[in-house]
Amino acid sequence: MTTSGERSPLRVVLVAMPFMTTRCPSIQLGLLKALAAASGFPTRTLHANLDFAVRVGVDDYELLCQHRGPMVGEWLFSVEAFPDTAPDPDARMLDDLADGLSHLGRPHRELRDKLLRIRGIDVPAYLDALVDSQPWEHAAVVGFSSTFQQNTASFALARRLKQRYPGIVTVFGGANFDGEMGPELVRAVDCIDAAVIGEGDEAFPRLLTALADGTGLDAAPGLAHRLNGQVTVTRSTPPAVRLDDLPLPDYEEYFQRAEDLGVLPRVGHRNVPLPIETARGCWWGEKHHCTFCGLNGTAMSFRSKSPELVLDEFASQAKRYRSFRFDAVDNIMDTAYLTKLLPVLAGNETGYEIFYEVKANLSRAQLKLMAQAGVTHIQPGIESLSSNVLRLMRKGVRAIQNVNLLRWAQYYDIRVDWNLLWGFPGETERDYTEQAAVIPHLFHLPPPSSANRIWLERFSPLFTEHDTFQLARRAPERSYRYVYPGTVDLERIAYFFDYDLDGALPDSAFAGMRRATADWSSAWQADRPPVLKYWSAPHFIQVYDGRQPGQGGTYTFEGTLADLYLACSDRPTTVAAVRRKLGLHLSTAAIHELFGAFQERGLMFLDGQFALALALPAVKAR
Amino acid sequence: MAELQFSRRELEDLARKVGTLQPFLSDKERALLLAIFASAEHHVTVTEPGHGAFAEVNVLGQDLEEEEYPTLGDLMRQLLNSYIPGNQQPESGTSVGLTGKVTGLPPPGS
Repeated sequence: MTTSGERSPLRVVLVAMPFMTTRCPSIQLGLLKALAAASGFPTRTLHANLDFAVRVGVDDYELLCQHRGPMVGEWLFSVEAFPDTAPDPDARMLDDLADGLSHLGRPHRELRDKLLRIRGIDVPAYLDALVDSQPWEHAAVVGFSSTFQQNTASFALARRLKQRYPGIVTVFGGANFDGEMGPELVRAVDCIDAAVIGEGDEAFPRLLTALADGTGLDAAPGLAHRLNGQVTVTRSTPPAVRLDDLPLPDYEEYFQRAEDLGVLPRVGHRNVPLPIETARGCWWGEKHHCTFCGLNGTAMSFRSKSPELVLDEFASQAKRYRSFRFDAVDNIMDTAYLTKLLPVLAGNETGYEIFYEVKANLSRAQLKLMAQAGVTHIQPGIESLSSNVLRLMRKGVRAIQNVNLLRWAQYYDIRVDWNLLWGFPGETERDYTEQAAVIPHLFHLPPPSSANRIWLERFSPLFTEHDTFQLARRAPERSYRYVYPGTVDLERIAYFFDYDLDGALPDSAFAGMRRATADWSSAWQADRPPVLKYWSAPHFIQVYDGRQPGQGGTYTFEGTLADLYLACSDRPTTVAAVRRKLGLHLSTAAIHELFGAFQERGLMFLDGQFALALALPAVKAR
Repeated sequence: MAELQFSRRELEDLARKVGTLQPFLSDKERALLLAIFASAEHHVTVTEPGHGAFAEVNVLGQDLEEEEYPTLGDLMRQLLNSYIPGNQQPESGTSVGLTGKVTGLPPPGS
């Protein structure tokens, strides 16, 4: 891609290394390419992760991309990244941390042999092929975007490139270089010439301009580089870029390479999710930062694109790449889109299938609108089914709102990915016995994707608020020391940390929750999923309960009981509100008692003063 | 429409309360009130000594018959008897998932 203002001497290659998923293009590369090209620098992208996936097998590769504890992906490239100083040439990690490798799905001995084969044979062969097969001699700058487990593979390639082409300038960026992580990596890893700290939309083109003009790197903001043996960090500016000013990400080369390598079929209609960025930062985190979340790093301030431009981007990208699936990379959907974007999408005859991360307080009407707009998949910040635990994590929703979201998302056929978290200081065993007891009532709703103790992430309040959260122990997650040599200060480059948190419960407190969530997931593997659904007529309702295998049955309620149940169906409702709405002569205490009886039968979820019917309408979405 | 029964005592209580309104009534209102009582006298039946009944009472917008509201006990009994076991899932209507699609756990890495 060229532009009228192209400066031909400084050619740029942007690389995505393992372990980034093969299933979609990199928005980081796509966007930076468009930005660099717009500044006049001929730029191409190389999704080199695809080559490695093909070499080791795409399914195995995708398993390695998942972050579930020990950083096996980083470990695989460690020896090539740090040839003389890699800390684990004898592969002790595979035995020492074997308990954390079960998700890779092979018996230990078989897994060990496979990983050693990949590390000893596939990784060097892959790197050799990558260096030999690409026209690196034309590249002046090679940029690496690194998130999660992309560091060592990127270092390994950068090292080989610098050896063969010493004139190449290597530039790193991405979430792994945010905060103090970037400067420390620049200091400790000599194949890194410079790193962009924070957002690269302005910094990267200015860095390229400085390199092209020979004016020195100090002119670029938010940049770490080595100068006379010392790491210099230029002053970063607050994120100022308007998202509306950003160009469309360029994914052309991803599709070419994926289809050339056979990772994607060469078909007319592509069923590939196109990453789309409609907002950055977190509007909730600006007010109340969830205690466990480190995702936004140093850029919490919320910005979003104009709805009109988002509509244009959907249309342009769908047409350009022949796919109608979009994965919003936003950490949280802009609530303004509920009134300004989704109604337009719902009114258009478009066939988009859109994924968004959302706050969990969405109403039935909002979820219905999302479904009509083509939002087929969401990741709400549910995290717990206990209002007390949600309060402790500053989530800003009650458990009953979480359950209601699961209900109506299920009803409107929106797939929900969500997690259960535990381990927050101040929580009680009762918080978890109560959750474990209520989970069988929720079997007709989609189960969590995972249920685990919280990870300690850099930038999260648990990490940064020392006065509020007392950590009895904090150390970089245990696999870092099998990846990085002793010359790297792990305290400064780690994103995940092992810890002991004062006031958190022991693992034994969550045993019941583990069993309950495992049963929940198992129930959804059955041929017929669990159901709890109702048919209603005025003052009459029947609820079919098929949540437990082999135990189906029907409840029939008439008159006041039917009215009470239906009054709590749309949204969480208080006893007083129900009494007022129905004009009941029953006392509030009596209504409480009836709600309790519904709850005992697993037909209602009660949370403080609020009640919610759990069954869903049996008839098609309305 | 219903029969309204009353006792002498209830009638005397009502007369006493209405009597307290006397200072606030105009001559016309006093005359109207007496006319209403006189008219009512023709519809009253003495059912036994000291007790009477109006055979038919219609008050606009209000049925004086006492409405039967279910008590908590009634409703709890209904709840107790509300369940009929049966493993066969009703086939009418659509499944909760609308399309019958079981999404289950997301694919790895999603």
